[in-house]
Amino acid sequence: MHELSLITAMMDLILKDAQSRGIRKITRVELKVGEFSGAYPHALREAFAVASRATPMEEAELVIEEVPAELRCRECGAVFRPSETGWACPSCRSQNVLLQGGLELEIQSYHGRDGDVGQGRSRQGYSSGEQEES
Amino acid sequence: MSVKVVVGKDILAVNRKRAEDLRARFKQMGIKVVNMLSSPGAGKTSILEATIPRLQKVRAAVIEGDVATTRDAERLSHLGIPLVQITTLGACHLDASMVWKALEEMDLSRVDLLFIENVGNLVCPASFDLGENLRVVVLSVAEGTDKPAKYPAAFLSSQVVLINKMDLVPYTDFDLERVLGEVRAMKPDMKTFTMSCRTGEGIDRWAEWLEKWVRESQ
Repeated sequence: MHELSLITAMMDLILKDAQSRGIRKITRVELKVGEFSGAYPHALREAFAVASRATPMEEAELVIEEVPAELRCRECGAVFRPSETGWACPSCRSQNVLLQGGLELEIQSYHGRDGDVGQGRSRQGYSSGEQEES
Repeated sequence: MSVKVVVGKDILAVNRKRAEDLRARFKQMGIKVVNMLSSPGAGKTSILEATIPRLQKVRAAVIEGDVATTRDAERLSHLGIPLVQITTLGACHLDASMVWKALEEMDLSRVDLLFIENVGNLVCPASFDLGENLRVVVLSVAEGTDKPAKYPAAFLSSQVVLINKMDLVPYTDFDLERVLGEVRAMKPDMKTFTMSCRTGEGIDRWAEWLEKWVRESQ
């Protein structure tokens, strides 16, 4: 239900970043969404279709990598998926387990074009993002 | 020219930053903050109604989150404490900027503990840090035994679980040991309390623990 908030937060981050790099059109956005993140890919896509209208992201392809929940046993190191019957380790029955994947809600990358990224300033001073030409 | 920009950032980075700002602000004011999560009807407001009068030396305030009504705030108004209602107009969770705005309407100069009652929902509120120091998830007996495994994000991000409506246990197939086992499997150091707002059972123990937590963590 909160997917629209997530999508608008994602769009704000990307549009701001794109603007600072002189990127005028976003063609592709790659997200990583964990199984236990509480966000559903289908609802994210619906929200994106609505929220991106009349923005530089309107025609962007939204690619969602779904990350399955993954547990690791702190006792024997086994890696396994949570089951209906609980989170105990299937190998040693220990309940001392750690969720090591499945809560992700990340913007991996985005693709853009029509920018003047090849020249000067827009390439400098971004510690949080790397830029590759393709 | 086409470019790829590697971002590698949490979608909620902006909310997280705002929440960190809130946390710093609360710290400066000497206020501890509790964010309460649950399904609709699990008893968040009833727990506040029962808990706040039992706090001896800790002065409380409440921010109430609700989708459409001010009913919960009305229920708490007789407590005579600073109280602000956030009506989210449909949004299924509170976020840090809503809390930031609510603070403008509150006098917190004589407050030690701020409760934020989130919108009743076990999914969405789990993702939004509100600058709290403690996250409490309420589970009521009538909801059944399987909630922790079904809503792991809410439980994993909380430090305390309150199991409410214990007076209903004889009428249901609620399995307390199983729930506690599942919660511990998820998070071995989770603090759990059982209670019933209807009978008052267990409220004292929780209120005492909470008061101690506020005073010790100051």
